[in-house]
Amino acid sequence: MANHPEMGTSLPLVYHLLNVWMRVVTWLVPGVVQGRWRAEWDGELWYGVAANPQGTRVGTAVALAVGVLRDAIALRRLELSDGRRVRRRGDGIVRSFLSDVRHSLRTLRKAPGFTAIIVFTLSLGIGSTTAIFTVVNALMLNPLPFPDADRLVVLWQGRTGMEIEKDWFSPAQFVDIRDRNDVFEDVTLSVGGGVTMTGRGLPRELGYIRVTSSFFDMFGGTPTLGRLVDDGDDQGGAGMVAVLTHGLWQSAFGGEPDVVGQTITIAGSDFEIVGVLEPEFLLDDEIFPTVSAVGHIDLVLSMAMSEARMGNRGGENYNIFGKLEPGVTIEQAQAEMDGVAQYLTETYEDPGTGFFIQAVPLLDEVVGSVRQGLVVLLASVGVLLLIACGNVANLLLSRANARQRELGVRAAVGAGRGRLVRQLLTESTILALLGGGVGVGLAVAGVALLRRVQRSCSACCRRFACRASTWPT
Amino acid sequence: MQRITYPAACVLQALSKGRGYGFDIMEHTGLPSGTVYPLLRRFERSGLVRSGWETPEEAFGNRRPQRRNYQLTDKGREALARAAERYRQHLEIFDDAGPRTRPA
Repeated sequence: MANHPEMGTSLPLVYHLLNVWMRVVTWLVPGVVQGRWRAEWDGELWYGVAANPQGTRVGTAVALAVGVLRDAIALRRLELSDGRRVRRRGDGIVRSFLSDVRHSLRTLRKAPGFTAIIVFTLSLGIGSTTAIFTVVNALMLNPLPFPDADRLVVLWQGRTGMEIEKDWFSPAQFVDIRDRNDVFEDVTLSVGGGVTMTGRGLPRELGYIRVTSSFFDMFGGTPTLGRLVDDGDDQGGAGMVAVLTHGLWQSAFGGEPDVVGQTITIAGSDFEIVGVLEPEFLLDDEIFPTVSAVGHIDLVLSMAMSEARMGNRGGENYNIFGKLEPGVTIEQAQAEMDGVAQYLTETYEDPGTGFFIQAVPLLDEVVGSVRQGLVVLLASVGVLLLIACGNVANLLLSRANARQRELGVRAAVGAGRGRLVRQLLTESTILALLGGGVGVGLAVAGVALLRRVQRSCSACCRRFACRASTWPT
Repeated sequence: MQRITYPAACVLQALSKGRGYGFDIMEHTGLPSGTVYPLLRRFERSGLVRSGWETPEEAFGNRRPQRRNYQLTDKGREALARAAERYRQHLEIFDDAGPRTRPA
């Protein structure tokens, strides 16, 4: 404890305590004067405590303890205020950081192969992970840009006796479900398909979805121009109206502001254009799985709930979406649908068909088929990132071994352990930033590539939908 | 040259009286260690004092650690002279203030 080998055995406890305190406080003292400072206080404590034959007063011990601390703080302040005196710190912190950065850049420039391998490895790991996470985020974590998306449900019917697990509904079944449940705040009926639009230059293949007005109540959406489908359009005998998607408005109508009020002819029927949807509204086959598998929806058309349509029990081509009442669980909804299925079975179905209705959260419907694949993909690129990090760590370690001589020289000319660690950390940080920067670039390119692949896939679906299209009645 | 505070002047004065160790200065001036040692650091930085160590023989012969001692430099003596003059002038304010006793 003391700097004299013969001391220590008969010294009072307070001396040892103050010595421990002094050594604790030493970390405040600038490194290059620590040894001298400790030696001085060692002598002063001895003189103040151990050399006093009358015993140490508590006041003296406390005063010495405070003195040790204040002295250390004073030295630290002096160091910060006068870089020439002790070690260049204070403004020296920034200066030494910049010096580290410059030195690191020089070092990395001298080893271009090593730097390139590290940056490439890191960017590959970071880029692939970021790109796949972007996809996972869009498809799995936040796939439904609708209000209260967690309360949206898609209904399917099936007949176990006929080995039909997932089928669309008829309008009459929709009426039964709508009128015989207490779990849905709202239900909406829709049907989609592909059509040919004529009367505006060359005929054009379009995807459409016909909806009741509650569709927009449920999924949100605001018009850029005019209005959306409203209650009046649901009434039997109401004129047929069309709402253009923003994309169709731009591509087929040149973004004309006076498009509202014009008439378009679709599959031989005239529809009055009443509005244009906002560009952000998401309409695709993943979310609205129409019977004709329309990949891309260009038009939203009204669907009057005439007596004839509401009595149609044979045309099972319609989607039913529901929005759960707040607080209602999917299990409660399923139980309610089981009751409706029971009623329909007893009333309309042949015995033994095994008719059932299934309520599926829309989120599960959209991501259910890809969830496992995406999770596996995300885990794979996560492992790739781990491997990349492991490789980089190994490379840095082997390089550090090769640089022992350089580090030894730096230590010999006065660089402390902290300074050397800071230097290596600065180098690693620069490499990480370079890898991250290139990785983000790779991620942007990767996402763009995935979008292109996704678009070409959608185009396939759309062509298929157009060939198979039939106009529902 | 920064102004010398009263405690600083006391420490310089103690040094001029040959009190060269931190603990001795504390005892001589009645100033706490938290004042004395930081002042010594500043004085040393400003060149008012210089420090040294007693010889190992002297310290270890007495079975104790070496102590660091401080001595005034010429610059320090000049500073002490200026400070002493200033504080002497300050004390003159009280010369006609009557006896410095607490009223009964």
